[in-house]
Amino acid sequence: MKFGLFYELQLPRPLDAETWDPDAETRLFEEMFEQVELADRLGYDYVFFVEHHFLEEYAHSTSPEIMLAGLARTTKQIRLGHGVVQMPPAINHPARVAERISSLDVISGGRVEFGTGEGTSMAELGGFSVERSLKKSMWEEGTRECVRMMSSTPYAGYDGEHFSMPARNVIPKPMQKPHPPLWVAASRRETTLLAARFGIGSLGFGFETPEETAIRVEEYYRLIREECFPIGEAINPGLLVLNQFMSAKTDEEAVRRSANGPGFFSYSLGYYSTTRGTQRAESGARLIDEHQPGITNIHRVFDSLPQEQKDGRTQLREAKLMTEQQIAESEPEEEMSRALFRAARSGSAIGAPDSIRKNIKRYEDAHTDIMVFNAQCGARKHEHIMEAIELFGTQVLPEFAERHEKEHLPWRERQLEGVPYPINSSI
Amino acid sequence: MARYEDVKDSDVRTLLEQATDSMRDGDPLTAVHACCDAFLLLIEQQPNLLQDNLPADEKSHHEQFPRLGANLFEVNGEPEIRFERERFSLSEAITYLDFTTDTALRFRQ
Repeated sequence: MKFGLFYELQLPRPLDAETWDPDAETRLFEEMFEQVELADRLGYDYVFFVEHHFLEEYAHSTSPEIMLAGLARTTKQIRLGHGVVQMPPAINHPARVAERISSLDVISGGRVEFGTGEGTSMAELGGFSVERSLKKSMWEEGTRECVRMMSSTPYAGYDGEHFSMPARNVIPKPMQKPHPPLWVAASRRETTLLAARFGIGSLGFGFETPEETAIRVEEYYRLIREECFPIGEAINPGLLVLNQFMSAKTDEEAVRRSANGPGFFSYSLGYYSTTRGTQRAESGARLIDEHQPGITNIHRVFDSLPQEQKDGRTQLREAKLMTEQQIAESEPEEEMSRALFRAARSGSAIGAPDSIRKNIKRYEDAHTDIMVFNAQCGARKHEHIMEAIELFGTQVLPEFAERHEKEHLPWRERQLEGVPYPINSSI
Repeated sequence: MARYEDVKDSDVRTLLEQATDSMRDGDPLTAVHACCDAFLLLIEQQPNLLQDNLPADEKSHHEQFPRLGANLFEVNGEPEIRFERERFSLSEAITYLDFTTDTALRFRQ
């Protein structure tokens, strides 16, 4: 199993002020650069940046191509991932995507991972007047044509459902041929299966458990073998999972440093959903109509919640990992032990290196290709994130890297036996 | 083995096979029509599916029959799927196929 970092670039508003200090975003970006550059030196394989718009406090990564371009020149080997580019043409025209992806691939020496997505919340889609019922179709059309633009000389032009353009040669061409490895955001199982059918990697951003992942791996590789209609000129078979992450010398310190990071992450993500079904009255989440752009302090709303809703009990129950009764009967009484119990239960990478090793081994056993870490979330401190990256990178990553070569790659080769399409994958 | 082969009902299974073949042939519209016909058959067998799959505020849209242009309605107590367009992408057809197949396979339990 390979490893990486994942960034929303969360920036909770301060609890004791109405908005951020003027240097807050600068610090956020500078700290991110330090974190990723450390990861690169330690041998982490990937970094992925989201693209979200208007989601204050939850995700300040609105222009991932900018961060990735900076990292292209300050890192040496880490793969530079879009997690993802939003493909509806009103948000990103396919020709501009092809130009940016190819340019990044050239200046990085061929290290781009091209993650694609259709967009989710109406907070974003509404900002660009994208109709929700058409976003899947837009994603497919935009991705397919973007790939053709990168791999064709010239691009023959297109008259489509959601965009049209005449014949042009879209330049530059990417260093990776015929194009960088393709991925799609797949926070749901259904999209993982779609990814397999299109011959692209699945970016599992739904914090799947090891057990869920094992099922998806089996289904995914079966579909790659049996029902694949590639959307690109080469396929990129692979499953990535996202995991919560914090490490320190002791389990207790790791939990303390993790603080309410995962809770704020989940809460602020749910906050921006406009589907009533994902709102939970008891969580205090607000519908988008009540959000006041530039004014509402989401962090303060989150901070007012009962502690159990901040640190995972609600998430465990709502993820159907445990019923309320099971939670009550099996959890340790002591707060610290309870937090570690919950982290272990869900397979989270939160704890001392030994605990993390044990938890994430379950994902390795499920044949996960890549795990990326959600380290920068909530109000976590930069120095704690740096120490966590260092601890994992020096004490855990090397043994997984060795097994990846010796055990995982042969397994993967067996899964792909007989697949008739060219493969372009960094796994 | 394709998942539709595990579906018990032969009529539903045949329609899902047709949908899969249509997708392989690059005809997502026919695939969506076949999935809709299959889902209406499932509702005949399990009438509660109709209410379970109509839009409701408390449900995520992922938990309901997809509303991507072939949308499920209740008309005088009967299910009706209305096509708002006659052009679908392959990914939309896959979404309809997977949802219908998952629903059909749950009847196996």
